[in-house]
Amino acid sequence: MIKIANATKIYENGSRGIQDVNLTIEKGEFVFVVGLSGSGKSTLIKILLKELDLSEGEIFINEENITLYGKNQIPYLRRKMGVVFQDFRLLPNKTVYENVAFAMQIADASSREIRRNVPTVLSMVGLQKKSKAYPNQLSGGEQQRCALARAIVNNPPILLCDEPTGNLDPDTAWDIMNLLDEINNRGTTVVMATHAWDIVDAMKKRVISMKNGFVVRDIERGGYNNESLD
Amino acid sequence: MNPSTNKDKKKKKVKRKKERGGLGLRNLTYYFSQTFKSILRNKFMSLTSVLTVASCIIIVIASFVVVTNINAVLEHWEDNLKITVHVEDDLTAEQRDLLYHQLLVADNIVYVQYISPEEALENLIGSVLADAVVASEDHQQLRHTFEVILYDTRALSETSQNLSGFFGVYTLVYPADATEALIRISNVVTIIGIVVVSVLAVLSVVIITNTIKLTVNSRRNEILIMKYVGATNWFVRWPFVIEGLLIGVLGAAIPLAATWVLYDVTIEGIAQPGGLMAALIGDTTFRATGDIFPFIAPIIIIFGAGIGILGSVSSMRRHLNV
Repeated sequence: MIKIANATKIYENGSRGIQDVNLTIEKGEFVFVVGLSGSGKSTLIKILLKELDLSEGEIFINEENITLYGKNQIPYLRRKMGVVFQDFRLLPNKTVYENVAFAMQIADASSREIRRNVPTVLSMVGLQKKSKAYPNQLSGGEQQRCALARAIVNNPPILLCDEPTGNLDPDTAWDIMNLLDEINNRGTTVVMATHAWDIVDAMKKRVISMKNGFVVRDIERGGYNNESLD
Repeated sequence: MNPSTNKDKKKKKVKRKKERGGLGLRNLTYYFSQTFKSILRNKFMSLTSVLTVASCIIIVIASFVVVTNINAVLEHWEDNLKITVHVEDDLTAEQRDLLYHQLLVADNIVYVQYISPEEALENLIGSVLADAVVASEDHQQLRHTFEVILYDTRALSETSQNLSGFFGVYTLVYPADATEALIRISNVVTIIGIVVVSVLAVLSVVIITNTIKLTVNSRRNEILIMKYVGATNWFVRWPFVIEGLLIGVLGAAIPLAATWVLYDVTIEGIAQPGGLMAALIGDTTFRATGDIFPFIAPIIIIFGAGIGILGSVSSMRRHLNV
């Protein structure tokens, strides 16, 4: 599903985001990307989103080399990937319903599809009663659930999460993780960059550890501190 | 032709259409609803933008109207410039008639009128000169004359040179210095007019673009989020383009309507012959409302719409690069 080959990103100021990264992520996997700040986790997510271009190497998604994609193709790539950020990034002037519907409008969905899918997804994330609320009327957890609903409403095969629990209290963070697990169980590949060691340890999923831009460990059913939990 | 080639072409066409953001009915409804929501949501910024466009455009229109009218006054004076052709005393009536016909067909002549000494005297009656002429009892000092009006006053010296060579012409009288001065003033006013209107137009573009930039900047997060969710550049751009267009058109239409009405009232009220302006600066011709505004209205509206769109699109470019 995702293949990263010899990927290096050097920023304009000379600092290295990721270095010689080689990874393969299969369809339906749940992968944690862990590491200290500046280790390259967010760069990896940004490169998958084509927010940044690689300096060297290639990335294949469903065997398509996205490194070769032009600017016009990026929006279509992003529609195949839901994305969730630490700071939610909801449109402040749109209601919960509109924020989620917006992702479908962009993907050229019909009004009927929007009316059918948005309530279903909102109900899945437990926001059906808040559909008319604006982001500033929601708690952090609710905002992240709204962002999650927006990310999955087009049923993308891949979900990228950049510290999705970073701004949430532990209980709310677990709500979000349970939702992510549920989404993953439905077949969506989830790639999540995080610092939350307790979550990583408890989930027992594949853990990719990064340090100074390099992948230093890649363990199936790993823990935050890199030991195998099997 | 291979049917699969046709199919491929059709697919590519649909893809290209989608990449432009699509202007189907569904999307159009979305773009317009977003535009109106955005204008209402950002009432203050929208109003500021409209007022900025309006302020700049009103200055452009006012400058144009002033320059046009200065030129109209100068043209009016130019149009009334005459060469008086004094005829030799010993010319017979037939020779005068021949001269009249020669003048009629000469280059750059639009109108010739014969004036007999008696008519000339009659024209002078009431003037200071008339008493002197009558007192001298020498009516002969009033010659037979032709008054000649030119097509192009700027060719006055060439024409007068040509006419002075005609048989039977005693002398030519015309305000040579005044005409040259008038032509110089007219040229200067035209150049100043073009420069002032152009500079103001460029300034308007800069001011308006900056105002719209502020509007777009205040919404850069919104644009960023749209791009992350997979919006094409045109999907993001269209509501801003429509908004820029509306702001530009509204900002142009308001000062246009205001100056149109104001000018009409002014011209009707004080600038017509016999009106206040005529009493103050002499009988002169100002451009009629119908000669200015129907001509500049489409230009001003297109100008407003153009800078509105330009302002939006250029301000967005930076934010779309995500």
